[in-house]
Amino acid sequence: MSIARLTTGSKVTRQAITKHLRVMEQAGLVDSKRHGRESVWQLKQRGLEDARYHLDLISKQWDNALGRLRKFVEG
Amino acid sequence: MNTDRIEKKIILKAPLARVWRALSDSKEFGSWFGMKFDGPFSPGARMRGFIVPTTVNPEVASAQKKYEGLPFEITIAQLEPERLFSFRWHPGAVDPAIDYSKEPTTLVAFSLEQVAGGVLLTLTESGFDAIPLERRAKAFASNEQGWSIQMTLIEAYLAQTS
Repeated sequence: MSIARLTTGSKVTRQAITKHLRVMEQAGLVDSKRHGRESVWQLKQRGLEDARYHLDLISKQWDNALGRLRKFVEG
Repeated sequence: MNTDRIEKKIILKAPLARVWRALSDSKEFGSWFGMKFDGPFSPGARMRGFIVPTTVNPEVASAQKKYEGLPFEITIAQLEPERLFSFRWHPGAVDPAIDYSKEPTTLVAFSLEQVAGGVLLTLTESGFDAIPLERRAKAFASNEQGWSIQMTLIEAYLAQTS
């Protein structure tokens, strides 16, 4: 989506939108391509899904670790 | 969904002093967690540790075996007797090819509270949002790749020996 389309019907300025998009780009949530004079932005769905999956994995590792702690102090 | 933090609560049927020792004594912590540290925990201390298979669960121990000797670095944040133990580290830093030292850390905190029937342990790990998604996705991808390489090796090994 272009900045022009993103700001249509919104009170947010082009500058503010661009600033937000740059931050999101750095975080790996969106990316942009030059299309003539304007940038076209798209969501990177896969980045989000991977991050969630990664957090789920870490969460499961903690479940396991706490299970071992229980065995250690209760056993 | 909150992508910045993980929170777990568990009630341990053991005396508070026992649970505290299991957390705050680096040898005891290492024993159930599956790590060996180079000294005792103290606030602000930068500890080096490496992965050793846990003594508690043989199944997990064998899964940890492939990471045995992998170095780890944690920085102790708080040690408040029988109440709070926290440290910072690089989550999921299991790829020896990557230098994690410049990346942001997450904060792991164990807080204890005496309740009826035992000790309520609350574990939180927070700060994931500061770690670039791109990087997290990559860590996961390289892990997955590592696994598929292992599977190929196993297949090759089995084909040879059968």
